[in-house]
Amino acid sequence: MARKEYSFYPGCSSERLTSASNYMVSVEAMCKTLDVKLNEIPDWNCCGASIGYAEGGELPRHVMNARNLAISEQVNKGQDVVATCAACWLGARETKDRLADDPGLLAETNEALREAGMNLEYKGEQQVRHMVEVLIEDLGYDELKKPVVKPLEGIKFAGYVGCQTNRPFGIAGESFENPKYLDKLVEVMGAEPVEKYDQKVTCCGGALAFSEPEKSQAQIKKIIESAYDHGAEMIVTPCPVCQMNVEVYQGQINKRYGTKFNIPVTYYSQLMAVAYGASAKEAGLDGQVIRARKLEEIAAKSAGR
Amino acid sequence: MADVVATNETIVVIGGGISGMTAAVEAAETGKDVILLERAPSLGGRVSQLYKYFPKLCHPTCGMEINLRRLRGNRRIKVLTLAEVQKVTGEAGNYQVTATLHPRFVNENCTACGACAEAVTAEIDNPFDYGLSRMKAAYLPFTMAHPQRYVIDPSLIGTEEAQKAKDACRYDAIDLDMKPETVTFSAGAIIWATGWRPYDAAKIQPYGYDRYANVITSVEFERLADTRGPTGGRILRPSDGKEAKNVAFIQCAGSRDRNHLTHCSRICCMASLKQTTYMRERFGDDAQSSIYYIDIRAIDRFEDFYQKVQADSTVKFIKSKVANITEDEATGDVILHGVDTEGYHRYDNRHDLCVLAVGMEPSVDVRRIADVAVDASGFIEVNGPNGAIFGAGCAANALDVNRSVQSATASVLRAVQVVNRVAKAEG
Repeated sequence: MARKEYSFYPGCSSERLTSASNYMVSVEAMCKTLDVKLNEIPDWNCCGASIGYAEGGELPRHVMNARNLAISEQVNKGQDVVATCAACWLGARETKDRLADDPGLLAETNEALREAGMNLEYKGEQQVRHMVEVLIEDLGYDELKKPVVKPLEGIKFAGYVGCQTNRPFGIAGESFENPKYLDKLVEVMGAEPVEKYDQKVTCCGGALAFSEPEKSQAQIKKIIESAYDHGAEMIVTPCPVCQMNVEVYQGQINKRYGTKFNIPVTYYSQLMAVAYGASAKEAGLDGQVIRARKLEEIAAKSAGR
Repeated sequence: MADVVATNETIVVIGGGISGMTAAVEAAETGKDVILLERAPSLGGRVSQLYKYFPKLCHPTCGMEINLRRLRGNRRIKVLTLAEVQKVTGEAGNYQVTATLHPRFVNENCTACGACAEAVTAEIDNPFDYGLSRMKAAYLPFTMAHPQRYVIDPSLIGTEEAQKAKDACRYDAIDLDMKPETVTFSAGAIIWATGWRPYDAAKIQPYGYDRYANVITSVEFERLADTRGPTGGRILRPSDGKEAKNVAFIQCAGSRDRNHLTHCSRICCMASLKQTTYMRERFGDDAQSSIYYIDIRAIDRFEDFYQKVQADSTVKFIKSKVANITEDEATGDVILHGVDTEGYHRYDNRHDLCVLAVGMEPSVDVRRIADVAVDASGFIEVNGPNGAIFGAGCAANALDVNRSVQSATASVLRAVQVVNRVAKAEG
């Protein structure tokens, strides 16, 4: 039996052939090393993400999340629900909190679930957590350090936390404006974090990258510029949307502002997978738009050099 | 402490700031026996750390001096410093107050000559300057400290430094073997004057007090302006010691905010208005003060003061709750971001220094010590079911100096009635 088991769903951005499928690949490698088993919630659905907040309406948003949670309660009894996607975690966690506070909304939500004919009832039995919470709180930095066989020496990372894992819930004990957990993870993996990365919680624009590209790209420019200013060679993030926005628009930003950005944007789980000895492929490094060559080099080396 | 005699007719005053000193003096002047307990090594409290009071802009040393003179001249008052109250039990007319007397390691022989401080090399943060300066670990808390006796910081005990201090003393005033003592006093009534502390500015995360050197609090700004403060009264910013001629004041920093203190701390508007006068005093027409505010609460007679500051061309008022602060790393300047609600203009304003007008919160959690009712902010309910425990000054409410003193007088009137009843009953 695995050391820890969790009820899990990857969310749409981490499905096969989607923008963050490499995130999932690296999470699998990381979890394998840590002996953590993720039990996928069968037939999980979209969390509603930004659309749920923008146009979806409150009840539909909560019903979407409650459905995932209700299936989880039936199938993965007694396990915490873990999301790797920041938006999934935020949406599901908000639903849990709201339904716990509002019996009326809970009754309506369950009525909607019944109408869907699935014999589901959301009870609120399980905790809703983000993967980094699980890593930090259930395993702890010491345990995360133990399997490191290839310390990521000589790479400087800007730990870009973004907003969704940070507000309004955040990671317990962390500051909203200057969270440190990502920097600590970077350090534990043997790399060097940027000490004063002043854009670490700046919004990447989220879904506005599509509808308001100028505004979103102005944000992303600040995030990248500050990383460069502080000597970072790569950016690392816990959020699939942050990863995508900050990575894929660098070309457009270069055109718009005459900059020469070309900085890899990685997931914490990729760092961990590589440090734990995974190959570039197992760490999902083949899914980068801007290749993380230094990580690839380390992944190619044999362990314990 | 065999020389302290307390009975059910004694009034114990807890806290030796402006409210507690006032209460002690006034109670004693009506002929009651008073024990005044102060946790710090000196009386004086936060008022002694101000550069000037509003609205008259006189120096606190003046008011403190008068109070100290009355206090020293009154034999009915017994002052105990380094006395931390642990527990209060009993009822009106019959209380037991238990306190820990922390060791000063300096006895009554001390003449405040300062030889021990000269001998010692170890330094500690100076709490009188809110940590903006360092001082020797053998120290006089401040020039007007009462008692005028040095303190050996506990961190020296057991080190060679402590012995150096002892060897330097020509009056046999240093006793390194002093131990904490627990004492219990009887009291008929208690005046609770433990005052306030500034709200922890680091909790207001968007303002970056924990990250940016040039974001400071209003109490720290008082120390910068004070001629006996860490900069000799020059308004220099912490990052590089440059003169801070362009200063932003943010009102309601941590007050009137459901994420922080929900109450209005009442003093902060006047404190910032007052501090703009320090700016003019130092820099004349070159001063630039910007006050970011929700609304200015210069209550009743302070309206005059507000109008005078408004008429000063060096002071700007921006009606806005500042959203966040960033730092320009190259210069250390702070940049305030937000929306000016008069016209709805977004701004990114650069300043040399930002002063957070932080709110007041009670300095101690009274309920852990005594059975008293407090309001939602932790201030003692003046009309609560509190027997003969009477809140005075900022333990009872967010008050300025003037109102604190009035509150102290009111508490004395109540306490005196209780001990009079006790005296009558005991014949």
